[in-house]
Amino acid sequence: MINKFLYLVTEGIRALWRTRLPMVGSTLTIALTLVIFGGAYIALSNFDRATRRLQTQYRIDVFFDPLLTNQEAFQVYQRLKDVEGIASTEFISKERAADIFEREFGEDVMEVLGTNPLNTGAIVLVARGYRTVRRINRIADEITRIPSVDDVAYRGELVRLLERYLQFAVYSGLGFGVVTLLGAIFLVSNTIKLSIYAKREAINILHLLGATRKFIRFPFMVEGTLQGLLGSALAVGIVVGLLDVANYILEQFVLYRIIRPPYLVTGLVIMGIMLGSIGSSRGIRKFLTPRALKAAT
Amino acid sequence: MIQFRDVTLIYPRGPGVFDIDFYVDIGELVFLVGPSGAGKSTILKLIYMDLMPQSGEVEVNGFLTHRTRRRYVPYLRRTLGLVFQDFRLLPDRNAFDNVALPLHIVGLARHEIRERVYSALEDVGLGERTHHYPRELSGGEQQRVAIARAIAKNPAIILADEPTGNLDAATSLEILDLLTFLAEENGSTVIVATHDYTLTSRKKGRLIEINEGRLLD
Repeated sequence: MINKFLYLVTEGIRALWRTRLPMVGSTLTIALTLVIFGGAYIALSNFDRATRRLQTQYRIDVFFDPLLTNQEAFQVYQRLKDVEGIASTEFISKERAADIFEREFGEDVMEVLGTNPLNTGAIVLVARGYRTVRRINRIADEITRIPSVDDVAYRGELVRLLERYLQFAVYSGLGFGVVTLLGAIFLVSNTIKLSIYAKREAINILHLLGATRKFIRFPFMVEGTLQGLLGSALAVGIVVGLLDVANYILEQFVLYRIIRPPYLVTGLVIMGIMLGSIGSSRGIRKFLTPRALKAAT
Repeated sequence: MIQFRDVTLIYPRGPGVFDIDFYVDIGELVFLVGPSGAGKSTILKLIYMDLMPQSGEVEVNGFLTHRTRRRYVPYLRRTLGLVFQDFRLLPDRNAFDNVALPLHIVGLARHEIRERVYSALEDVGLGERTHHYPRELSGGEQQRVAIARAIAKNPAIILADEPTGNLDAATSLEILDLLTFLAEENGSTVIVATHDYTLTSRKKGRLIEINEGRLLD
């Protein structure tokens, strides 16, 4: 049994070598597909981690009408406390706003402009149970509806924007990935088809010598699976290599590393093998039939 | 061993064989003779169940055509040694690998395959040419490789379809001698389909004549 198995695996490798030119095409397509899926997986994992970090600062900056005096602004500020889902609030008078401006930009606004045009406002911290993008949005909307509230700014908005752009990028990437995935399956099955046609006389001889269908099909399955394995090895090399390069570049500028999600390598290898096997079984089902072989001769 | 019972097979585009009825015993040498298109190959194909009869029944080594499902046909073929006019060797494999092929199919161990292949190639006089590819061998030598492939698995029955059809007269006789000698040594039943009556006169064997798909008395 083991002898037969080894013989058939050798036959598969031999067949792969014989169709090496189309094999290169299908292996590269498998690699491209896996690079796309691997990239999407890395992007999603890192985005998830980044948003979880951003969500630790659940702060909403509220800006009041710039024409309000500090006293009028404080009355508006009092109404903030009625909004549901707020843990704490801090009033920002015109003077406090000028202090913050000076701290952040190093300039005294009074000295630069001779007047203080900065808005009064408030800093609102969202309560623990309300720290989701949807709920923060609702709180921000409610605050905006309070008369004399000019604007609100919060990181939830940033998260939402990021989420939207990333979702778009990932979904279009995955869409492209699905197209290349179908292309990879087609190319593998086409390589198998060429291999079957090249071996049609040998297949006929094998039938005459008493080979079972399994015996004849197995090397083609090995051939397809090996293409998947080669493609996944290439993809793993590219993805891990690019990740290292990206992290090396990032390290020069920011304190951030793109993490390698768990099971990335295993996932890519399994996916590659599956692509190869699906492609080859499609090829076998379609082209290793008496009718298809007869049509080819 | 081989039994045809009123077998009829008509091809969709022409005649086939009609009411074929004969029996071949263990160890017999049988010449199936007739002109081209008489139905000789059809009879051999019925024996190795490449074709199934439309009526009647063929029994080979206990396999009955009407009871043998397609997926069990390979197991019947493993008990047969087939030799063809066009040799049917794999062009990209050397003599050793070609002879080893049916032994890999049955799943023999490597050392046993080596032993049997070398012995079979020795028997057909090609002990020195084991690593030659078919393109490097003459027609007669290629047919010897095909015979070695047929006998390597010690088959109960050897079927040879015009085994000398592509060979000159002297080589034809050599091949026939070899085939019958080895089969006799092995105790195998041999059926040789040929259109060459002169060839059959040189060997002692039973003659079954066929013409236009029917056996002649």
